[in-house]
Amino acid sequence: MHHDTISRSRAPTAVAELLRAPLAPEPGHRRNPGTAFSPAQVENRQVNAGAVERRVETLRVQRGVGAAVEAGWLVKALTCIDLTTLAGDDTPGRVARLCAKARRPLGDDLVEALGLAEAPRVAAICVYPTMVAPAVKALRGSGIPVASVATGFPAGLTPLPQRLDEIRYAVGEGAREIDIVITRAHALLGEWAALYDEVAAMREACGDAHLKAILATGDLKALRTVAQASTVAMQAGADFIKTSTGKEEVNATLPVSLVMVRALRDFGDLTGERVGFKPAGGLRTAADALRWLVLMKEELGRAWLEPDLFRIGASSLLGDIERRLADLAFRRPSPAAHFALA
Amino acid sequence: MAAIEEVLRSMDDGASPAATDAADAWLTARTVPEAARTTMVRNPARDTPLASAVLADLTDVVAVTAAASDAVPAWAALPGGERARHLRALAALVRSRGTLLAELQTLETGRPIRASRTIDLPLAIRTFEHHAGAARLAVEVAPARSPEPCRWMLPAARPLAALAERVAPALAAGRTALLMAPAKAPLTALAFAEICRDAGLPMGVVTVVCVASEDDATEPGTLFVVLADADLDAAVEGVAETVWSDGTAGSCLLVQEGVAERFGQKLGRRLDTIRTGDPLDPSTDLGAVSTPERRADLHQRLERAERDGATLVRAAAALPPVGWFVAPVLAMGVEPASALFGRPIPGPVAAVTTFRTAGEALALAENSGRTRAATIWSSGIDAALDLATAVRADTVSINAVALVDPAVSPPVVEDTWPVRPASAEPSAKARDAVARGVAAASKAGSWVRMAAQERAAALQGLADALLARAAEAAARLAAATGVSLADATRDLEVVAERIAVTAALAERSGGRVAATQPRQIVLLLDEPYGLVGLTCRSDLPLLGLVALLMPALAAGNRVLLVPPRLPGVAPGTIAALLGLGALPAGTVTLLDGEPDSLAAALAEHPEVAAVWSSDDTRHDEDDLSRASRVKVVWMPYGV
Repeated sequence: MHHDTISRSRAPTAVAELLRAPLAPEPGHRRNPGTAFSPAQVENRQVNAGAVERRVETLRVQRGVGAAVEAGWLVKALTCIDLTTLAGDDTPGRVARLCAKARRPLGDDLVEALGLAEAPRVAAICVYPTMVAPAVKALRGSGIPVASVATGFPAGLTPLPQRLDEIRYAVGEGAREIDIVITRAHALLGEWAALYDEVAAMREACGDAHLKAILATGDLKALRTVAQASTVAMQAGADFIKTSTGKEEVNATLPVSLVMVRALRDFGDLTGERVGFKPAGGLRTAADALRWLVLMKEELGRAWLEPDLFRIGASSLLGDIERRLADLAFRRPSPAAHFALA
Repeated sequence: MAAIEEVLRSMDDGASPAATDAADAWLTARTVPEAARTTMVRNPARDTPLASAVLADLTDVVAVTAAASDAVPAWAALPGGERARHLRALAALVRSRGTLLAELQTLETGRPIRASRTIDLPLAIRTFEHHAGAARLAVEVAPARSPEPCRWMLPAARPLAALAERVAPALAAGRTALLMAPAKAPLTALAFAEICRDAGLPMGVVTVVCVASEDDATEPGTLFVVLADADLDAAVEGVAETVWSDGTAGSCLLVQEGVAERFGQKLGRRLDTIRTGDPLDPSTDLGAVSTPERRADLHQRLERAERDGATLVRAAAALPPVGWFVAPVLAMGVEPASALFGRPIPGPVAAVTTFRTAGEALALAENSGRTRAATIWSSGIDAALDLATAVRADTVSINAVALVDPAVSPPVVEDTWPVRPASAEPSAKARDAVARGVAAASKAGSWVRMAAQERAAALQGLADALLARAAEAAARLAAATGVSLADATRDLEVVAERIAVTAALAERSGGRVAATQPRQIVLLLDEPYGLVGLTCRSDLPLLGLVALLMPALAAGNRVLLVPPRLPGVAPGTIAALLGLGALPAGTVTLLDGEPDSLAAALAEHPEVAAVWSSDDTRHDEDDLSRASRVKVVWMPYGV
């Protein structure tokens, strides 16, 4: 298509709008239906690591969150948290305590001091498959969904039929969201068709439950591989792409996140579909949460600052946000006992 | 705390303008002496008066030049370690008064405070510290060839970084510095002068005067070449960081046709996230860096370009009602015939032109005018290096922008003041001679394309040939000049030796590598200037001529030579004597005519890259650095 053809056949402002192609916020976007496997879209992804790191740095310097609005941003971050426990010693009792915190993450006096119209809640609870039923029970009536990891989390190295059964089991137990792990070998060896087939099968096994595809970026290492795996997962119908299991040596980082949100943006430009993003592990402090919110806002826009398109997989982060909010609201340090245990 | 519900809804990031306490205090405390001529410095973001400054005139400049000259001997005589101590003291004071300097720069230039604080100030500090190290390492001070101070007209944009990159290397090398700050923006430089005084720098080593000045000519912006296999998002950030942040010059973006539409889409979207506004707001990207003249010129050019078929995309956000702001612009479908191509653009415009092949990109780059900095975007090392080495620019970076390192940057060439000294008008005859010479030299493509080894062999061949016929040549020389045969023979042997030494140096040229930053390699490649003119004093001995001519040739230059007039020796004889005929045709072309007129004609001709005179070049250097220019190629890397 030649530029002179464009400019003669259409009014300049219309073309300008076309070129700008803004991602305007819409309420309740439809689920990503996926596309046919397109190897070209995967092959032509290019990522320059140095430039990615530079952009992360310029974002840090160029865009901050002013003191006057910090509390609001932290509350927003809180509402995007998938409050998580994935430990070998989880019990129904432990899960119940976490769910109680999910329903009421902030004490009433803090909610009042912040000037909030109503008490905020986290976005979801995330647990292992056999803890789904206790979580569903503990959250009854709250409207907070239960997300389950599945498919041989965290390594994912069990046979595919068993991994799909695990998804069906978790959904049967009441999970409304499933966080699957991909077979890293497919990504590391460039077996994109195999990766597509696996994620597509998992999406089918999920049924109405939403699928988050964990890429395990700490295992993939190279940023280009991360971009390519993101693209395949989205083609295969992922509702969210998620950085890591939280169990890797290095979990969510800003460079990896930038690469994934750019892949997500490109997929959206191509197909019109909206896919969510979830960094998991590595966000420990309130400052971390703000940095990720800034990234989402600058790269994707306002719509991606809501729990239907942005989640944070975290456990201790909530506590740090709570403490920081208390500092901002009460302007004096609070004793530890002030904050309910998660 | 802002109403939290409103924050939750809008997710506005609550940026607010910074205070300028340090600058305010300095401006209030400042007293401007009664003077015949003063200028009023204005704040371009508000178009309000900021401060006044005394204007120096020609008499004043002459006086301070004399004082700065007087300071040279003592300064140059100091041991390197002493000068290093002074430079470190300057660095320390610039650091501790950094807030003041950054605020002053932003107030008087409209450059965003974030850039002044996080880019220019650290760079200035690092520049002084780096050159302190250079001073310490200087084994001996080269006696200043000129006892005059280095003089510069400071640019009005980015005065902080500009003064550091000029003053620091000069002081390290034992020279004194005279900065002429433009009336439009002298305050940062004047505050720096106070720093020099307070740091205990001897009087006269650094002098700052404020002079009336023309508006800076628009410099060419960074040239972008984006290949189909580039990380397009990275290239977009490159544009945002340069054209749409610095704002003073537009950029030519050469984009491979297959990815141009996609790249344009991404650029258009990024344009809407650029914040143009109050330079004191730390989240502002683009400040008030325009002027009435530039704004008018820019609008005219944009209008013409649009009429000629380019598509303009402008940022949606409104500009502040007052102040010299210009919104960033993306122009798609800019062809070489467009008003936005071929000349520097006086504003934040990214102009996209498509190409099909790398060769075409190079041709377009050449056609786009003089380029200082170019940036190549490609994921393939072959394509990237091929373009980086071929494109004509002083600095090339691969997959990155705005990389600066005082360890690698060459010193800034001095200015003369008043800016244009009167030079002799060349005669028509001289112009003709030069034009013919240029045409003849254009046939010498093979000399340029030769590998260094082949050039070395050619020059060694000249030396050998000269020795082989030494007896005959000595006789001719003796007869023509009246010296004894023995002296003439010895002279020729020395000349042949000099040629041979230069031949050996030719093989050793190439450049050097700097790897002082993590995950970054910087190539400093020696490049010939191209076609150079060489004018010789009438009494220059043969050895002197050879010492000038041979390094120029060894470095790969072609030469237009105005030979010395050795009494009794015709110019053609000199060429025959040296055996220049053995070199490829057009490598050395002799020009006949009146030397001063020829020199002026050479200086005027656009294809002559440099003109050297035997008066200002040294005869005994053992390297070719003066005969070549350095192209800096930045190569960051990582996965």
